[in-house]
Amino acid sequence: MKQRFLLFSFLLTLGGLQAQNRITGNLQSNGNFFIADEKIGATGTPQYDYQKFGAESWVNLNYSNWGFDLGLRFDMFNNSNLLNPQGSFSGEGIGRWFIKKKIDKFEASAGYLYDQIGAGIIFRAYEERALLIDNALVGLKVGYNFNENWRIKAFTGHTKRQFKTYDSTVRGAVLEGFIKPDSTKAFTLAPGIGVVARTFGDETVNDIVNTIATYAPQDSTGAQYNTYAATFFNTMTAGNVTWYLETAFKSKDVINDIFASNARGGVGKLVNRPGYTVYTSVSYAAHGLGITVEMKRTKDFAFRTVPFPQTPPIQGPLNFLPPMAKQNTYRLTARFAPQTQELGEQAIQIDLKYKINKKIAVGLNISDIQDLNGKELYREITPEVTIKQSKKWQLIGGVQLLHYNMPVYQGKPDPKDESDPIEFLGGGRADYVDGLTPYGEFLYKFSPRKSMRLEAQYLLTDDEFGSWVNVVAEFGWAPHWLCYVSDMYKIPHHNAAEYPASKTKYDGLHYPSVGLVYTQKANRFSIAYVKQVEGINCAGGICRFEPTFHGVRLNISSSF
Amino acid sequence: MKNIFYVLIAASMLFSACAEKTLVIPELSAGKKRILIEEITGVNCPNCPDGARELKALQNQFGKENLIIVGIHSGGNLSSPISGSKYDFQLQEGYDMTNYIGTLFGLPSASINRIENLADETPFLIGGWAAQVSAELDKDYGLDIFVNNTYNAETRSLDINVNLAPENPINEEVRLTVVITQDSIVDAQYEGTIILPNYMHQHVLRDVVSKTDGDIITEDLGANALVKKTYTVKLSEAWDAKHCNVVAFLQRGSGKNKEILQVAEAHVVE
Repeated sequence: MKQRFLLFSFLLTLGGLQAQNRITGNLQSNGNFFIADEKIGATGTPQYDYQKFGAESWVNLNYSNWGFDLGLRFDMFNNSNLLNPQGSFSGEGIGRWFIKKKIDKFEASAGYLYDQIGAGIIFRAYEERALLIDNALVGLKVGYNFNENWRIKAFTGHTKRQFKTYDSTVRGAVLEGFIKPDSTKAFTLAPGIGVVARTFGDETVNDIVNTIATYAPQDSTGAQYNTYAATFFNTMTAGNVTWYLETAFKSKDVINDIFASNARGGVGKLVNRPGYTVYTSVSYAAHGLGITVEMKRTKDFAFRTVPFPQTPPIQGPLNFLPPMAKQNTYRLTARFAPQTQELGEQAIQIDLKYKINKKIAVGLNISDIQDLNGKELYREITPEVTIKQSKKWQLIGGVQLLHYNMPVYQGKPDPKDESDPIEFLGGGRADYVDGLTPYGEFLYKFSPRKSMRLEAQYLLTDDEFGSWVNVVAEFGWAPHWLCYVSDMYKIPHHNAAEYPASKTKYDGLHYPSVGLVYTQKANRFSIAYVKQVEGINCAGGICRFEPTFHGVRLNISSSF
Repeated sequence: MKNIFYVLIAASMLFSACAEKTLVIPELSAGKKRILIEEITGVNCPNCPDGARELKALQNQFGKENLIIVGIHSGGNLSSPISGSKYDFQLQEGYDMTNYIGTLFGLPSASINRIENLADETPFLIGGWAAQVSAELDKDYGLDIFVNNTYNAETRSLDINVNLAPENPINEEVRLTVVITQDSIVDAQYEGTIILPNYMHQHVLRDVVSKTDGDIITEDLGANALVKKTYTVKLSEAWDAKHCNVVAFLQRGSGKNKEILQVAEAHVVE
């Protein structure tokens, strides 16, 4: 009732003010019709079994006047599988509101706030709709600009949990600056220091104590209400070189160690340990050459509103650890994406790009992720070449060499391969997916308005379900129409009888999709028939399992 | 810059009150004592169905989770297959275990935690089971055992993980025995003078995974230690995995005293 009153008052106010100022906003709506198909595993969720339709929608309004910024967002979920791909979530209401006012050097915001400290390692309140992560800080933020180069801000509140909040409270502060010692030289520093404290709510502490009380004495651990995290970060720019460094520490925190074996013989228990993360990124760009080297070491840096596994587990983060692998966009090169390991990983990523001439550019990406004992978790090597013929056509070709630890990233075993077609990659070792994926993309412009894009990938592997091929053809008639058709095909095993049924269940199946998109100025409408195999969906190193999808997807997005 | 310094001090005060009252975590103790009953039985034993009924009654009285039963068909002729038998439940390992436990007087009889009966110097009791179970349940050695099974239905391979978790130190030789039992086997059984063709046999010993007299534990079993033991076996095609269980128990190992300190049971397929 309160929310309705708030919405009504807000709209009335805006109505009265509309004559003076323009309201901006946007709308995004998704609708999914689910078509059950046991053959491909599209079954067993409420949407397939009886709900048949799911939808989610966000309507966002913004208004500024007299130094105030106001925002209001209506969220609606109707039998939606976005929160939990294997469940159903319904709810509607005010998903976000905020008010912001700047008074000279002082600034204050209240409501549902998005913000981060540094790269987000100790605190990041953000929204990632593809995974329905929305951990806005529901509270107050104040800031003060000492001068044009130095400012401080502090905040406190609770973390958003759909239309409620988690019971833990968060408070934090950050001091950020900008230093240019010599105005005649291209050398700058942008240092910062931040602190965050999280206090568990009574309900969470009771749950922690009650959980530990069920443990065998060997697994007993301490616990506390408060955990403190601090970070120092700096961006140094010197000519063509940019160097970012962030070092963060966290005091003892009750975290869920999903890999720890417990006395009962199972896996997983609450532990109470301090943690740290060191992240650095150095990049150089000049004369057609671009190099970025990133390194990260993390130990016990899960920083969450509550330590218990959420549904799905990606919900409830307080921070964000930068991913250390290439953000692949093609369906088959993205099939085995690594989830950031909060409990421990050491990683390096090198990204090289060189423009040989106006027509040819080459690139190389190398990612290597290990656990803290040096055990290989993920390795990807992707050389790529881009050939561009004036404005008429462009060809991208590359190959991905992949080594992926299945039990760590997906919690599933992967037996030793009997006949690995790409043994040189990993020797068909148990627990690892070894994949070789050549890919290509060809863009051809018939005219400035008419274009065609073709892409194809071939994933060669003996692991998980085996090899796949995926092709996409897309035709665009700018500025309004775009249509595409694609098919992902599971190449059958030659010797299927020698494998367990779980490995060959998708052999010979096609996963076609066809879609049509219409764009009219700031409005975009799309409809697509989609058949999509089960797999891992990631955004920014945060991943979750998503079951097979079969149905029709409708999307509307609009800005006004 | 001076302003920044003052603000930093003020901000740090937000976090300076780091000391907090310690959270009280309840003192944890090892799980409750469970009892192992090794019943010597046979399909050719007219009185053995009485023994099975008595054990079921004891489980109802004391709790099924507290009484773990292993049915050993090691009674010589009384355990030999009879007319209509589809299976022979006798195992050499079963006989070896029985001989190791002590001297057998008749069937049905049962060893309860391998406690020696002072009257006749045998751990096998005929009657008086309830009193012995009750006395054993009152003991507590501050020891727990956890059994965790991982079964691959396609290869029929079973990984057995046994964790020994003493709360109190154990400073003597102890031995770990791991066996596989099977429930719900329908086969012939004598009762009195008649043969019951569809008798339901429970807790039938199918295999002894460890040595029959137990594997000596060489690791330190100090207070709150955790000793992990792993076994891998392949289940026979003749056994129904969903009715199979793993039973693991730790006994005193040196000398005549073979008392069982703790026992645990877990289904092969949960």
